[in-house]
Amino acid sequence: MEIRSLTAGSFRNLSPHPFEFHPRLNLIVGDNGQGKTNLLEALALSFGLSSFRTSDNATLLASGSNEATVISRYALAETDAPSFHVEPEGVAGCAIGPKSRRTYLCGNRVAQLTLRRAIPAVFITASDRDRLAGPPGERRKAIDRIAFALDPTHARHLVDYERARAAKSALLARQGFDPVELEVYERAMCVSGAEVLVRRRSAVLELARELRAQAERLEFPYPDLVLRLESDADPEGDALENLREIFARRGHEERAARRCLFGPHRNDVRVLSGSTPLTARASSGEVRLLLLAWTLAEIAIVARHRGVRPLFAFDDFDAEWDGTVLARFARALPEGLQLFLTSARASWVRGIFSTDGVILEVEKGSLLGRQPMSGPADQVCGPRLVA
Amino acid sequence: MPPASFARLLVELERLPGIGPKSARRIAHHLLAVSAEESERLVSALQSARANLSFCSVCHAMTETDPCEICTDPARDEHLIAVVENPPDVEVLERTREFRGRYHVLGGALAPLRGIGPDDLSVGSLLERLRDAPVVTEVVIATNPNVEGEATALYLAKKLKERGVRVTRLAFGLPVGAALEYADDITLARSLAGRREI
Ligand SMILES: [Zn+2]
Repeated sequence: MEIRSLTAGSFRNLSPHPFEFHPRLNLIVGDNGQGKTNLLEALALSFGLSSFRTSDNATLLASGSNEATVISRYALAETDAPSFHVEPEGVAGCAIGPKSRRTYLCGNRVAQLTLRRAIPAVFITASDRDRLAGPPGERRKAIDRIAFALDPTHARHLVDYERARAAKSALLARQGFDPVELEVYERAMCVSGAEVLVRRRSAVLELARELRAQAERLEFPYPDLVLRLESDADPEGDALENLREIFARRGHEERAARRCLFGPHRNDVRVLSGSTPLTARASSGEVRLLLLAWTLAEIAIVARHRGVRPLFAFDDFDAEWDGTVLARFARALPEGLQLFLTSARASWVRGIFSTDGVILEVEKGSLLGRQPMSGPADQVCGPRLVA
Repeated sequence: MPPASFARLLVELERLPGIGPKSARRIAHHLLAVSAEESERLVSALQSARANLSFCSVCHAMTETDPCEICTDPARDEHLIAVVENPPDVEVLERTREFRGRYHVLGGALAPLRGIGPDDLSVGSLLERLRDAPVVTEVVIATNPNVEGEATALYLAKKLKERGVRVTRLAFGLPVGAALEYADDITLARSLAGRREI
């Protein structure tokens, strides 16, 4: 998959002129606050992903505007063989209102998930930095992306589960409720929750296999990596029966607390070296290295199951990883992948990514300069470019 | 800024389901561009519908007579009641010509998040109907195949089974999460024929 260009309308500070991209490496440079990350965010939204920075649509709109649009022109690569129908070339995009979002593919209004499936993309942004050491939310999201790549119906079950949980929470929070009503929403949580659990289990298995292989390529020092899905329910047994049993046995605790305490929304994925939590054994640099391996694993899994090489975007790529590690990561990326990297400086990327590409300099939301990166690998680019 | 009376028209149009600001503008311009007679026809159609239509006191479907034509039609199967969420769902099922029983319109689905509980729906009147008309032997629940519709179906099944009535659910070949009104007639006819006991 390749993105030819992005056109933004009234989106944050981005200029309405199309941003044209290189089929391989796009290094987006500029000072902080100039719009580098806005550009990645606009790409993400045009693929049907959510913003990685905000859940409030209103902040995405340029000031004084009621609607923003982000439109990407895409083309499948010759080697892409999608496992579902998608036009070989077309337009994907999203119209964003203060409280709504509509997604489009090749001129048709489509569900966000349809678009997400058609234009697969893997992002590393600020919120991913804490995936391994931080709270479980980011790990759950990362596992759900893998589960979605393995089986797109996962997303539907997840939405159903969250709706049922929201309904049950609302009942629990209320003073009096019809117990049969609580029972039917609990039942809905069991049915959708079991589907979610089953798919997360497969995703964890698949990810663990791929992660060990990719970690080895990055010379990650702990070969005995284990991923474990932590759940209130017995991870091996029948998911539906497990959930029913836990609600029956511990429902009184929920009624006392007046909120949902059990179920897949509390799942976590533990990363272990042998039987020790990785974060207790590995240095913070090693943990960051594993995030890169996890990213390679996600790219490989998406490519394998959708038959389409995903796009890869890496925000602030040189902020936390040193040159040797990044060079190893760059070598491990699949051939022919289209890359979008942002950085505050452009000076040393050539030594890391030896592929063809362009440097796009962004200032105040506009493209200030565009320079090819096809020179000798050892030649260092100037930090500022001329338009 | 548009003139105040035009802005007022836009506000009212935007309140309609499925109408966004752009469509509202287009419809408003259209209504003003056509002859006065033509826009009057719309106003009078709306007024006459408001004046003549009401909801059936038995099944809560939209009707001009009370009880409605379906509730009073002796040719309809009195042993069978289909429970739907909203009045338009009655028309959707009628279109298939497959269902020969009577209806019961709930007025929505259980939605605790929006504060809609069993008391806000016509659940009580359904139970009364079954008590007053013991000839009813089967209730087909045709709520939408989404989380709220399924929960409502299960809720009704639990309440109705206490009364010894057979409770069935449409065997949806519909996409999960879809609404009844978007189903095509053939799919619906098939799901009516293949209904299953809950
Ligand atoms: Zn009636």
